[in-house]
Amino acid sequence: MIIDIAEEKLVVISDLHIGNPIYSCKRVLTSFIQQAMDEGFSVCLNGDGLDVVQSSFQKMAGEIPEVFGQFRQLRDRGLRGYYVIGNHDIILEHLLADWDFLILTPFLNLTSGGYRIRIEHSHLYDPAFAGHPHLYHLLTKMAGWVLDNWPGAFALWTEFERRRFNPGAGEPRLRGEPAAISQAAREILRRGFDWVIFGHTHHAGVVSMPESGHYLNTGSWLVRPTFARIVSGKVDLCEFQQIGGGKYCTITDAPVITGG
Amino acid sequence: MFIIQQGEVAIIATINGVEKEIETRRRGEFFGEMALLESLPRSATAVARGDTRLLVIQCGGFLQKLRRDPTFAFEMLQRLSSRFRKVHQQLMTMMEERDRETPERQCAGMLIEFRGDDAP
Repeated sequence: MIIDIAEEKLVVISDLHIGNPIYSCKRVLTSFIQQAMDEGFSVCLNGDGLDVVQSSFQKMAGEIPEVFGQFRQLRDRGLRGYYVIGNHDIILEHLLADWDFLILTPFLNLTSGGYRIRIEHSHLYDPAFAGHPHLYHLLTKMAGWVLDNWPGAFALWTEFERRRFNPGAGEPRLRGEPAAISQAAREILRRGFDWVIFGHTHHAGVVSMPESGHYLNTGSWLVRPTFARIVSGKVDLCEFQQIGGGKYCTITDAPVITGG
Repeated sequence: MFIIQQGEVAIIATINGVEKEIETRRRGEFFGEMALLESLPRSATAVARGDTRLLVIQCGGFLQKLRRDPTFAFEMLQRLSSRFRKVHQQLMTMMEERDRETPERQCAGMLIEFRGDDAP
């Protein structure tokens, strides 16, 4: 299993939840991957790319061929597509392992421009998932039913998390995330990493840690199309913007979204 | 055991009475795990090359580390598996060489015996 990789140009996206009842990212995602290919970036899908827990299989089947066809093109152009397993797609691991255009992995230790970067989904550090995995799975499934019938519940849930997990002044963590997530990032940074990139929580942002290193969360495309762009070890949190009615797309620098 | 946070470390072993550098460990890599896992004396010497910062892990802290950072266990197993594979390959190569050499040595011995002297 490949966990140690070297890439000078890589973009990291997470939590697309393809098949989810509330959002279709096919159009913007295909534009994004096309642009990444044109600019010579490899692409890492950092967990929960597909959603089998809350999915409509009909919807998932409608979106998969086009999106993953592009990952095949990525490989044909000599670039690489990495798929880090998350908690919503772990059931599909056997299926994904057979898709030879994707490099399937539990996490990645990336070397870029001499910097060491950890890329991981981070569900293992979520106290709710780690402490009560069966209950977590059940509640997530039930939430899928709620979202199917009342899509507005997602925005309410996101706002609830932001209010519930509100870091104190100077506390190095992202708003909306349990403290355990940034603590896990610090624990990994102590092992000689410069950056830790997580997904899972859907709250995009960057935090500089007191000792050294940075923690970045790529957020979720259910909220907005944010991603991490890595060029020779330089890491930026960006937002994908479509220009000209989706005809012309560009990977632009968005203002860095900071924690808190 | 030790995890290298910054810098690099040379691993030195005494082979036939001579100290030899057998490997260099770099940032993010670890050493001293055999002594920790098996409670045995260290089998090699580690020498820092320049400014080096290490994270020191004792046996109690090791379990805590694995709980807080489970991917570290995965990385450790992968590195140990890789080292085991290398040693296994070296062993196989040595056995193959020994098997190849045996008939040649036998032939050479037979020739020397046939000529009745030690001339080349």
